[in-house]
Amino acid sequence: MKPELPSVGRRGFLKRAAAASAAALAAPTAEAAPQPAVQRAAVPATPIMSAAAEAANPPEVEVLTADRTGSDFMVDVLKSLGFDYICANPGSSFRGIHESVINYGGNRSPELITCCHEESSVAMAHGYAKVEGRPLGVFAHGTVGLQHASMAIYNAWCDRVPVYVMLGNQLDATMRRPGAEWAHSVQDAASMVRDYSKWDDTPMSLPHFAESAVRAYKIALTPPMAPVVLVLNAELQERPLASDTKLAIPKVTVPAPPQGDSGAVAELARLLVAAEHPVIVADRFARTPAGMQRLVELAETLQASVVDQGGRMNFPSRHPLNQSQARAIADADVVLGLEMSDFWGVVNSFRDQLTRTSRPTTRPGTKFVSITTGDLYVRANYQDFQRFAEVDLAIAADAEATVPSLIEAVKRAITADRRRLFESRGAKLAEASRAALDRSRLEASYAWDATPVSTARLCAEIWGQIRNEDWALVNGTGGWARRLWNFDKPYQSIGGSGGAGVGYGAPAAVGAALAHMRHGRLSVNIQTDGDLMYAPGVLWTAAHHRIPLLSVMHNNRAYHQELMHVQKMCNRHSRGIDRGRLGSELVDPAIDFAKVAQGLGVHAEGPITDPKDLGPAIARAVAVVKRGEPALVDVVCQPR
Amino acid sequence: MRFGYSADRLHQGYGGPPKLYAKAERVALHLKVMLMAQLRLTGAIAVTILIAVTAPAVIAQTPSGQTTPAGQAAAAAPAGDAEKGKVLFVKNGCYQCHNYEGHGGAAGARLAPNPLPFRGFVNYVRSPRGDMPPYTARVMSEQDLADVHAYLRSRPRPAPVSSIPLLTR
Repeated sequence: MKPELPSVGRRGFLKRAAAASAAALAAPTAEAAPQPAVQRAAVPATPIMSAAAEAANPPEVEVLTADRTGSDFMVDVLKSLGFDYICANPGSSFRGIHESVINYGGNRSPELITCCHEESSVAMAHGYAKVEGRPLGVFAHGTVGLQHASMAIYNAWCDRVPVYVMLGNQLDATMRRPGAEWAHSVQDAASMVRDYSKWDDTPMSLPHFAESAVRAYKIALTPPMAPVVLVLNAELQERPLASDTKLAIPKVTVPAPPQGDSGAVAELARLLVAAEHPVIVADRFARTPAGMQRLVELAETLQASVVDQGGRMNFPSRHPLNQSQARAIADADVVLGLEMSDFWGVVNSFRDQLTRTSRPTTRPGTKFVSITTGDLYVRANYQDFQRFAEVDLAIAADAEATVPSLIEAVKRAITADRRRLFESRGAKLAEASRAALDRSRLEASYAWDATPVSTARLCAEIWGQIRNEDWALVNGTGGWARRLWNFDKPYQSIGGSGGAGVGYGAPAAVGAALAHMRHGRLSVNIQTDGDLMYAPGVLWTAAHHRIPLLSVMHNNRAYHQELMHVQKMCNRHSRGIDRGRLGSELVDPAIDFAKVAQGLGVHAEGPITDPKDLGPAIARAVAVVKRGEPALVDVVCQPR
Repeated sequence: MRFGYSADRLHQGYGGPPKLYAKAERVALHLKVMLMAQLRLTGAIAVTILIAVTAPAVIAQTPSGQTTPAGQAAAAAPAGDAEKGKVLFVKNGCYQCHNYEGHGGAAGARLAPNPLPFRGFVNYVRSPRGDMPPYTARVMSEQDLADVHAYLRSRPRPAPVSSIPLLTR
């Protein structure tokens, strides 16, 4: 059924709605009284009226209530799209749909998640989507809320993650309340994030909303995935729904992702089979649980090295072909990049000295091949697309969708001779993988008992407590965890922020934990101090909504990355090398994160400085998390 | 933003016994001389850079530095004060990438307990081949570096991995 909306002005619409509402209320009454001609000014006291007369308001009396409003329909649309949660810091510009979610919608699917900052709302949605593969909704003011949210939207954009943002806004200037509502209104709300969102719209009617809401969902989930923005006009939310309004919700069909051209895939297969040292580098490759299995099959078919860049959970960390800790790229004769965020950076090194220089890290003549949806979609202004990579074969397609046909093409191209060579190569790679693990363990043993606690010891102690659980790392250092933990399930890592915007970690961890909660998984967050200080209120959100999350802090009491950058400048100018910490350290006073977390309702211990105290503290925190609550252990760590 | 220290060649250079390191340097120098005689200047410059960068990679193939006697590395060094070195290591920001114990990490190479022989150590600190910030003589004297070197050599060796249950799982 085609949606229809009567074309009426706001005033006429309200009169019709009022009359319809009154008629509806009056209809069941048998003794419908004639409409009294009431002169408001001539009625000094409340008249004695029958119940029926009270129910049948005269048309001249102002109607101040409505049974249903536009935002109720909006909730119907959100339910049809399967949203489980809406993250929001409350805001008057979306009060209509806020109320509809909690009352009309029963606060179930979607359920409102109370957030203390819009950046937290969006980053939670970011983390959630990377676990569930589909978005949750975010409500925010079109102005101040979006301004808070913008960095998190940028992170999600860079990370190619679907985030579904809905902004409240009062478009009709004559309807705005004096004061804050003017300051909170904007002509073109989405313009601020248009450079780093995939699509946006400002629907002018409910049918328009329904179509745009479904369209936005479809666009967000079509690779390359990215945030989308809908502007919810406050008038549209709060306007009563006339009884004769006919509305329909379009069907959503997410497109099958594009596969690589068959000729190009066959050429790639020939290259890979003929190569002596093929290396597969995967970054934002695995967008579904099937991704890891497909990559394992491709690598095993070829007995090829795999380097997991960690943008997604692409490859088991202890698989014999995993060469992420080895120098596989230097020996490669074919490098296949799968959904690389920075292909150039993988095959070149960059030296950040007074004169910046770079050089290739591969042998001359090495063939480079890319499969990425990045070739299908790029914007000009923000430069997250990285340096231009000179590849020999570029397949503009979704890599995960293309790998099955690549596997078949490889199998067809393999000869008996090549298979024997593959087996020999695989045995060498397995030995290299074992040696890399041994090296990692040896390196981890240095400064094992040091205070502050080494980051290797931190990760080893966490691993000791979680390895027999159904765990998932939802944020934090991929370094030592990737080297020491056994990642072998597709949900055990969600990669990083995408845009390196600090403040992502804590809220993304809570969002991911929200997604893991329904699966009964133990979510683990290795939380840095500087990141948590952006919006620590997200710990309260975790406590309030009983989101189980183990946070163990890598607290080096500094914005340490920046500290190193400033040190570099001090050294470059040979002055004040002992002052590099100014402006980047988080000391004097040292932040007591356990107390911060306790104040926000989270079980917390610390600060722990003696590594011997760490294991028992994590064990106690795990017990709390297994009861369904968040817990935090503050650990004072070595810098990196 | 990626800092890029993790791939610093310094790490590989620090691992080898002094004799092997010196041998690798000689091999690199020999190659450089031979190639410079055969190539035009521009090419030679490129090769020089290449050798400078790859020489430590040769060293990386040597056995683990764990077996290096600490005293051997110290032989060419001026007398250093480990306690002073500990203070300088923090004050001058070395800990930022190499951590307080000099054990290395995500941003910098492991230095302790077997740093490069003192002369190689000084040369690298003055003119790092990788991303490491240079420390000129204006900001760290040779005595300062000797103290730091002594501090790094004083760091304890780790217990065998096999004796740490958390590292065997």
